[in-house]
Amino acid sequence: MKKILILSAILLMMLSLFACSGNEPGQTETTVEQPKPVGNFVFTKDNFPIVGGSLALKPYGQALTATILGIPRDGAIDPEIWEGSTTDKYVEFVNGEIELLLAYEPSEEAIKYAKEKGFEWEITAIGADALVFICSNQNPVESLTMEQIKQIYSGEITNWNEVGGNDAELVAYQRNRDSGSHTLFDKLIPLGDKLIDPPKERKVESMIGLLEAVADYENSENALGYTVYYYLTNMESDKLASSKILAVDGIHPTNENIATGKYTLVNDFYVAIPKNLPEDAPARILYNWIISAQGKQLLENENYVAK
Amino acid sequence: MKKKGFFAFILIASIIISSLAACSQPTETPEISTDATTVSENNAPVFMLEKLPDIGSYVSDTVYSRRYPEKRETLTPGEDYGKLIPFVGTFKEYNFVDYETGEWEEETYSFSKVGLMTTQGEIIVDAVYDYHDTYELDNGDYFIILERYDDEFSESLICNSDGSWVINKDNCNLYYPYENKDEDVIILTDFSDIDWETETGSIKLMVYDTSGNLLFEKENCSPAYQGGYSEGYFAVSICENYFGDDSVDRFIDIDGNIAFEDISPQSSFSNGIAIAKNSDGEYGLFSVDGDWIQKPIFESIYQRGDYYICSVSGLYLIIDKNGNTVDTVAKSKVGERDIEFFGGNMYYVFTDYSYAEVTSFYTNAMTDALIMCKEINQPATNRIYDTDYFYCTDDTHTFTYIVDVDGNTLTKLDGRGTITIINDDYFYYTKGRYTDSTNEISVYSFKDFKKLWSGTAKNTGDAVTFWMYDTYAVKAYATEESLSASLTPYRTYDILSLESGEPIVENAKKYSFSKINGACYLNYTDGTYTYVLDPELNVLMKTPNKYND
Repeated sequence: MKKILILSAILLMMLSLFACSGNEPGQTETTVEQPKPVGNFVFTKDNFPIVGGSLALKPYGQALTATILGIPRDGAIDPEIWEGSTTDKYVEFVNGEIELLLAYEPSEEAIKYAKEKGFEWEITAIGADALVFICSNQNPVESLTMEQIKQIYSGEITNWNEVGGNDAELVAYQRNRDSGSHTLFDKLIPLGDKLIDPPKERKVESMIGLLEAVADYENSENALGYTVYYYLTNMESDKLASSKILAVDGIHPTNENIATGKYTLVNDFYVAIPKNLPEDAPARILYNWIISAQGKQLLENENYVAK
Repeated sequence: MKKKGFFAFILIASIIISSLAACSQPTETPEISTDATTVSENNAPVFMLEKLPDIGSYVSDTVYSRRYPEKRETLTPGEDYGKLIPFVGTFKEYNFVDYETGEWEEETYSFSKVGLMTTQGEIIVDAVYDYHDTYELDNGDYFIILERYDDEFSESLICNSDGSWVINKDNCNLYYPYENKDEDVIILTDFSDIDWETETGSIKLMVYDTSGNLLFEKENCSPAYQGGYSEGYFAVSICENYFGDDSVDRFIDIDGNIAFEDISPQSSFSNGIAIAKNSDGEYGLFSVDGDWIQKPIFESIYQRGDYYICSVSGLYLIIDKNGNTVDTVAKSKVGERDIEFFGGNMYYVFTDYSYAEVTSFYTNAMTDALIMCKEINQPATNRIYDTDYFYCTDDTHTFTYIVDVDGNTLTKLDGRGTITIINDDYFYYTKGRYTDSTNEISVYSFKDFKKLWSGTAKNTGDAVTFWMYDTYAVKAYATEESLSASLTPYRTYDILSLESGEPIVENAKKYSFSKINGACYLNYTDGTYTYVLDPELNVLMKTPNKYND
């Protein structure tokens, strides 16, 4: 009798635990074989927070959604929510259009906007990326010093032969001010008023536009541009068929050099949620997961440098 | 023993209750730290996965290349583009139910955006236009038109296949002739002078050669009929006020001058002959030399291939391209017969509109030589469009037979359906669309009268369609879910290989094809992304789509 009761209890416990493990039929599209969640919360398409942010973090956003919901990557996210500048994304976050933000460092404009709206966020650095300088792979220059970069972007150097290259105009492209790349540039290469105001055609409004300006077009041989390492090497690596990343002070950016800080032009990227969200709010639960060891593992699986 | 059993029961009950309580949605959320190091697989109080699932690698969702870094809205002529194709960069379409005409009507508004790319997928003109079309020229080449509009303005970009010339015009329509054109020209009608509110103004005709050179322009003039520039002349309508009723039809020459006074064209010239009317409104056949070769005495004339069917005084005169009368048929004898010519053969077609619209085909009007299927001794009731093949069914509609003009069976098909020619090689047979209530249709694909594959589309909504294009078969259906969500069924499309019937794309929301020099480029959206595939199905472009329905 005792054995029967104990066996019954074990059976009932297993049944009851099995019943409450996630992924109930109809709850999500389980076309990806998803391990069972541990804990007492189940994410579904209905309660999954609106996740958006900087373009370079889109693969992580996609992987996060596919992983948590157990759905295929393709179609897991609405790509439109990852379009636009990093400042745009902070504005959407403040306005409640994005519930969990994955983004590079906020620009001054973004911080000012949040303050004006009386909005406070809770933010945690989850990884690091690097500002990288790129030029055509036909260009003989392999490395620039920090000083040379400052002189180029303050207009003191205008010819490639001043940095060991051919006698050719140095066409330095810039990103628009509200982009995450430019915020990174401003922070890591603080030129202030010395930063040249380029002609309109040398100010590119999108990350892909800048890569194309340097990598894809006729007369791109003399171009210099900057972007973030992950975006170029993971999301647009085909551009490296016609362009190359320059070393800075002789150090090439790699995941290892970014993680150790040997490559110096590095900065963190973040996950953010509105401050004071309740502990049982899906956005906070997801935030906690992202900053957990498992969230870090997913970040590394996606080839980011995790913190 | 009883006591032990009671404690065991209490223990088990408490375990079950606590385990059930643990899996209910949290009423009191346990405190958790935001410190990453305190949350792990072993102590996840809220959410953690046993392990990360295999979700594969990231694939960039912007696959395309560009010629220029900045957005381009027009084409720079003369660069080395190779062949250009129009592409839809953004599929966007809304369905509305409108009450404008006094009745509820479904209207579809397309806001798709179109641009130009090379056949290697390099974007040349960004997708900013609202409409595109491609026109094949007689020499096998083609030209492309892109148009965009707002409430008061339209803009056209017309270019040849390699972008070596471009015509940019505002407020113009392209008029492209399909009949009796022996030389390709590009005809534009300019509406800039029209004031739609006051209903005043006139149209200007502009004619370009296929190198983009302006041949001439003529005020107060627009194309007449489907004829284009043929044998040195255009058939045009001339009027000083587009909204007036004083227009006259005339031939004009390549310099824009009226060619034959008082001759009103009813067709363009073909083999030196045009159908025309005199000032009394009588029909005749007019020679390009300026003479009537059949005097204007007829009540009507219509052209069938190289023959003219001329109606006068209870007779049909069948006149060939040399002006010779090859047959004369009394109307009283043949009744409401039409006469068709295909493949050098003359067929007389009789449709009895009084009873079930039965159509019969004859090889000779006077002898009533009915075209019959010898195998089942039944008359042909349909002709496969643009061919010399006919089809009919047996009394029980068990089979459909395709026969030649002599009644020999070429192939036998299950049931009763319709046959549609795709090109010289392929045709398809659709069964079930009209003949049963299963809400599904079957399609059989044939090449040289041999079956390649068959497929069935079962509808779960209100629409089943299944049709074929030169290179692909397209299966469309609507879903129940969409029906409940909207007045307009949400259609999706499967695109299949014409050769094998295997799916290439499933559940596309919208699609289009660009067929260029015999090669077909497929453009579609799955709702999230827009794709352009080359004829080998390589992805030329993949971009996030702005589709919204």
